[in-house]
Amino acid sequence: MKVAEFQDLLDAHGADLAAWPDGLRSAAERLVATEPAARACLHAAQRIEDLIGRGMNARSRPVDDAAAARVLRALARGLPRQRRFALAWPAALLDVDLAPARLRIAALAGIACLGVVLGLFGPDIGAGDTGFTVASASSETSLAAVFEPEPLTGVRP
Amino acid sequence: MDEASDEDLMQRVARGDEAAFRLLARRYAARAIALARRITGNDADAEEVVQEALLRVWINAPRWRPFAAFRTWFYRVVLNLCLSRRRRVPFVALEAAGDPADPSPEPDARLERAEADSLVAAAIAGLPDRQRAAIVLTYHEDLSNAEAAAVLETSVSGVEALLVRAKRSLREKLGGMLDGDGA
Repeated sequence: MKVAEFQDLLDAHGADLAAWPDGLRSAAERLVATEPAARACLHAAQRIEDLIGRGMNARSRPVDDAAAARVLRALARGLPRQRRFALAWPAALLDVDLAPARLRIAALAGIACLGVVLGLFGPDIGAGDTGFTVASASSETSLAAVFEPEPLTGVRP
Repeated sequence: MDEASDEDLMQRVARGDEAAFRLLARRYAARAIALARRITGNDADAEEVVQEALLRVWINAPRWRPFAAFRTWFYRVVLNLCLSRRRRVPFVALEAAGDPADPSPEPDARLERAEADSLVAAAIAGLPDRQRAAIVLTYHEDLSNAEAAAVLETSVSGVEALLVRAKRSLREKLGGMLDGDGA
């Protein structure tokens, strides 16, 4: 770990190395132990966090409490109607937990889509010339059978 | 009922339980106002935002589902209202609202500390909205980076990038103070 990387990690994870992810903490502690520049970064990070925390917390707990009391008083005057689903089933659908079956649902939907795509744009397997020939031949035969004269009587249908 | 979890209370609120809603509002109003004040930089706006956020909680409670912690969801509502309000009205720096008296015994030390705090507050107030929100959520609300990411509707690495940029900017603005001894 380099000092510049350590600085970015300090900014991202804070100056309390104990709270860092395990994989990073040991490398950071080694760097702090061996590198004066890293120790200076850590000290500066602790200082800036102190300043931020002090700047945040120095401000006005009583002011917030008074404002909160005003908000609560305003809400006590009466609450509007709640927004509910007009029908029960949308809410019931929202309650269905699909998380355990998501993978299977996605697989099923994917296969269905693949089926549609293959059906529309895929190769015409099994619809070759032979099939059509047989079909047309058989249809000619049947038409001939319908319109040929009766072999014994010679009567046309 | 005072010990009930936020999520249990929300389920009661969803059934129209006003007492549960008022308890939830009491639990969060002051903290939400503090959060909103740090984002908007304005006491009056913060109050309005929190009142509106709590009303939204009440109105939309029947549609709420416990996919995330209530706190995360509520802070997201507050934050979004703050940011949309900040886009509409000009920013007023935090220090313009005035600080209450500090109980520190030494007047000189108190003045010096108030000045330092005021500089820090101004530096934080000068950050871009989302960077400031990341700082406030992390250091005021003590949220983890993952929780802050859920509130800010971004990834954990997105929050880390916001924090890195925010602190870099604060270091530049507060350079001289970083050498001090913490007065």
